Amino acid sequence: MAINAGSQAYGVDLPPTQYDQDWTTQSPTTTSYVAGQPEVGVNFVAPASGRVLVCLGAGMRTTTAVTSRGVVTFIIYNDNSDGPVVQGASFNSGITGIGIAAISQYSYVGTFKMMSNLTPGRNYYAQVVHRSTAAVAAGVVSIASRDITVIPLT
Amino acid sequence: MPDIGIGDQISTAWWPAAKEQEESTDQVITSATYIPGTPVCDLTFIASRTGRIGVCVAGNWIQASAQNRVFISYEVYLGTSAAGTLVRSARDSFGVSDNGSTAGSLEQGHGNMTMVEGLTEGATYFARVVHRTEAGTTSTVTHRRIIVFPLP
Repeated sequence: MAINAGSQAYGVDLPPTQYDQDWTTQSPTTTSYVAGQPEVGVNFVAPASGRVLVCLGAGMRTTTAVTSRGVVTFIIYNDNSDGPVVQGASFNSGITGIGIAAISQYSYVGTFKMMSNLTPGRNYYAQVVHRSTAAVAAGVVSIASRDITVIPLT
Repeated sequence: MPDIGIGDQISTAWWPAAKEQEESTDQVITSATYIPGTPVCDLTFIASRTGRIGVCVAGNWIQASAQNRVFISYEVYLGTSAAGTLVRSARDSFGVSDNGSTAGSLEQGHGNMTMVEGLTEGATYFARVVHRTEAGTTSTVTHRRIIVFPLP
């Protein structure tokens, strides 16, 4: 849905920006995406344009000389995490940790992805998920922080 | 490029649509200067009332050899193609890069956001992702993305 030229925008056309963050260290051991504990995610209302900007941030490290890296991305559901998946987890939409195949310290980076064709006024839930690029022992791949911001766009 | 003042009624014509473009064709590059690659990851957009936009670039890449970083950035031209006047040149600091590891890197990816200001309200602009390697060595950019949205 477009906001047409010349029409007046109302407050409901641009719902609030939403943000969530957690510093609890996550240690993914498989290549399957998990939400982790605690879960990081935001409920948001789609603006009139049906477009939002999803901003992700994470700090990741690999503590032994292996090639495994952490991957942090997101899933969008209708209503809440029990609802239908609108956008599944995408490797290319997220962050992949620095892969130097050696011991590394935490590296904090972010990324951005626009979601479009959302239904204006509908409630959605954006959930941060993560995995390892290969099966590893606990503690090899660590994620120190995760954050997500969802901003309404025109 | 007027600011939006206190009490102004905001016309939605001042807030053009946000745009995004993605491209997943592997770019095997040796250029030490910024190039757009093939196919080009580009878009056109209309400048907002304020002449200010946010530009996000993101990508995935592999730094193939020691200490030769990969850089992904962007350019903005007036008009609908790169034939127009260049109004924002690519800079390393406007995008993302590798960390210059002595061991090269596996595939990694992240993004960055910067602001462009001084655009002409209502004019059409062309933005594209560009990339380069540090010393002309072969590296691979595996995914490119650019998002442009109006700012107050």
